[in-house]
This record gives sequence, C-alpha cells and structure tokens, in this order.
Amino acid sequence: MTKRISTFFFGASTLLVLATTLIFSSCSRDRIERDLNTYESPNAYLDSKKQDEQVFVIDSAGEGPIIGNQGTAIWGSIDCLQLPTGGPVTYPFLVKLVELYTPKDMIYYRMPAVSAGMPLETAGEIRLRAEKDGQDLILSQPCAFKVSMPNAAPQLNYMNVYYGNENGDVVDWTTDLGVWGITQTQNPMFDVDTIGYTAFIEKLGWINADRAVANSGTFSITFDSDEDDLSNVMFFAYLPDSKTVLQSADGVISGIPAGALAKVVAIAVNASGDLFHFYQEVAVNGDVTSIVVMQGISDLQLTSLLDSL
Amino acid sequence: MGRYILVFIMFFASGLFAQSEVGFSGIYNFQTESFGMGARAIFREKKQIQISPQFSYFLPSNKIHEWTLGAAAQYKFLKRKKIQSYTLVHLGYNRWVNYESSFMKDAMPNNWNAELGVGVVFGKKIKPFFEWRYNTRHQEGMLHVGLLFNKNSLKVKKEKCAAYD
Repeated sequence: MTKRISTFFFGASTLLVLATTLIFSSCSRDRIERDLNTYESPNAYLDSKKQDEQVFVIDSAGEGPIIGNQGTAIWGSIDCLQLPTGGPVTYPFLVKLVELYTPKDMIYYRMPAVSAGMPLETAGEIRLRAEKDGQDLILSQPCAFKVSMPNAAPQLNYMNVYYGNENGDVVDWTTDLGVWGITQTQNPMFDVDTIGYTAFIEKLGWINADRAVANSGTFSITFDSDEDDLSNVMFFAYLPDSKTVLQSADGVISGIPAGALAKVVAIAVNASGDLFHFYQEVAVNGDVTSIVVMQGISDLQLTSLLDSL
Repeated sequence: MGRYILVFIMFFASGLFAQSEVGFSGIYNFQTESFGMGARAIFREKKQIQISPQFSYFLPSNKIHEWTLGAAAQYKFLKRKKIQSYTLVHLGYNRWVNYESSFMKDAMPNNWNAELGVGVVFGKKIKPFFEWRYNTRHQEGMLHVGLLFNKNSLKVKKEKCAAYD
C-alpha cells in the first residue's frame, strides 16, 4: 500500500512538473510563418526631429508682421479674432506657427500633400493658430489674416490656398471653406510678393500653397519583404518634379502620377531604439511592388538622406 | 527513408511477437496546422516503465511535410481499473522533407527532436489513447489520438452452450 501511494505521488508530481512545463513553454509557429525582423513605430523618432511650434506672445497692437524662423510673415488684427464662444479677445494672446518648407520637414511631421487621394504640388505648409487662456481662437467672419510664405521663384496665379482638414492623424487638403461653414470672400489663389507666395487666409490651422498635379492617371507602390515585418515601418515617397510628399496608408503609397519619379524612403526603429531605413528610386509607370530590405542607419545619415531628396 | 521504415517494421513485428502492444494514431500539430499519422509498438506493457518505438508521418498536403522515427520512454503513474495515465519522453530522428519552403532561417532537413508528453489509455483489449506532446526543438504542441491492440484484442470470447450446462 505504501509503495502504491509513493508511486502515485511520484507520478503526480512528475505530471505536475510536466504540465507546468507545457503550459508555460512558449509555442512557436516559426516553421510556417516568416521569421522576420520586427520594428516599432518611428513616431517617437520623427517627433524628436520635427519642426518646433513657434510661439509668439502678442501683448499690444503693432505694425507687424510676425516673422517665423524660416521667413513666414503674418499680418493680423486682434479684431479679426474671437473666442470659440464668439466673445472678443483681449491682450495678451498667443500666435503659434509651424513651418514646413522642405520634404524632410514634411516627412518628420508626417504631413503629405494629398487632396482627396490626389497628389498636390506644394510650395510649403504652415500651421497658424492663435490661443487665449488655453482656448483655440477662430477668425471672425468675414475677416482674414495675411500670410506670406517664402519662395525663391513664385509664379503668379499658380498656387491655390488649401486648408488642412484634420481627421485623426490624417490631414486632407481642401480649397473648400464650406467644409467648416465659412463663406469664401478672399482670392483663393496665392499672389506674389517680395517674400514669395502671399494670400489672405480665412481660417486658422493648416495652410498649404498647393496646386493639383496634372496627371493622366495615378498608380501605387506596394511594399513586401522576405526579411522584415513591415507592419510598423513608415513609408514616404517624394516626387521631385512636383515637390510632393506622399505617405503610406496600410503599407501602400497611392496617388502617384503616371510617369513620375518617386524617391521612396522607409523609416523604422527596432526594439533597441536603433534606426533603420530603406531607400529606392522608382519610375512609376504602373502599379509597383517594392521589395524592401531594411538597413541600419545613423540619425546623421538619415538626416543627410532626407536633406538630399 | 526506406531503411528507417524497415527498422521500424522490425520493431513493430517484434512487438507483435513479444505479445506486447501495437497501435496507430492520428496526429494534429497545432502550431504547423498539420495532420499526420503514427504507428507504435509498446514493450513491457505490464511494467511501470515502458519502451515504445514510434513512427509518425505528416502528409505532403500539409504546410509541413515530415516524418519522425524514434522511441519513447513512458512512465505509468496512475492505473485505475481500465484507465492508465503516463508521462513520456520521446527522442527521434526527424526528416523535414519540405524544409526549403519554410521561412525559418535555420531550417534543416535532418533534425533530432525531443518531445515531452502526457497520455491516457482506456480499456483492456482495444485501447483508445490520447496523448499531448510538446516538441522542445520547434516549440510545437501535438495531439495524438489512436488505438492500441494487444494479443487479447482479436480474441473472441467463447460462449458456453447452455445445453451442456
């Protein structure tokens, strides 16, 4: 009897050890699934590199303009501003400005130039906001702020005033102020001045000097890899002919005009915080599948690459 | 592969001759989502520690096409009437036929696998069994479901004629 009991307990303890091993052992599907390099979102890295929002404290009336670090000039009146509730604004208040004039800065800020899925030629993007006691101010109607965006060779009646319609993380550009219930009273085209492109804007927020890229059809670039898990990799395409920055959605960059040269840049960060990239130049004459092999790169090298786009 | 199967058949036949047990099973590998079939002989059927040469084959229609020839040591830790439970350790040579189609970086055609498992057997003659096994090399879990046969399995119970009682 004693022998049977000890045998039972030996067996039971063996089973317990075995069951514990089985339960806590990880199972693997490596034999049927790709054993790929994995990455994390590069958002934190891109945020660390993006243009700072400049803040101007407006405490009294003056001649202006407010001038940003990269040369954007802003003229406005406190009389054109109102609180979200419709009340008047008093001094002091804040004017906040973000300037994106290079493909590098548009990539860092993840601000592609796309309107309803179609590419835009851009001369620069700015975000202009006003704030009083933590509340975003709005322009009273009909009233406008004048902005001038620096450009070395502006063309008259060429660029349109596009406004950014923010939907989550995505900004879709539109010329239609009716989206916000605003009746357009100003010239929707940019004029030319000594700074570059100038226009009266009728809504605060994202402003873009843009022009729809003429095209006879658009194509897309799809990304695939035998070595890298691309789910957290962020892809951008810069089209130098139209100065357009495009960004991938669900692993696809779409809206590339037929015949365009696309400079594709992929950016990712691994779990250790190391930076990885992929670069390719693609002549797009149809839908393209790009085979990606991510490679390590230093911050300095990636910055230099983005500067050279 | 032929010579390995021949060796197994010899084991299998010797199991029959030794009046031990033989068995067949269906196998499902949960991680590779593959179905296979298995055959085994069990020596020392009545003892607490048993030796069991085994062969398994996963069909080419699966994502993983492979066969394994090995032997298990089984430790019977519970026996209650018609139910027996055991733990097992299995060591085997594995031939991974379609290893080239795998995305694994270090996929090889010839492997030595170790498996840990626990099983339960029912009955006296034709004995259904269930086994859960864990492949430590590939970190995969498998379920074996089958039948064991012994010398009594095919015996027909003689009925006494009432006229002679």
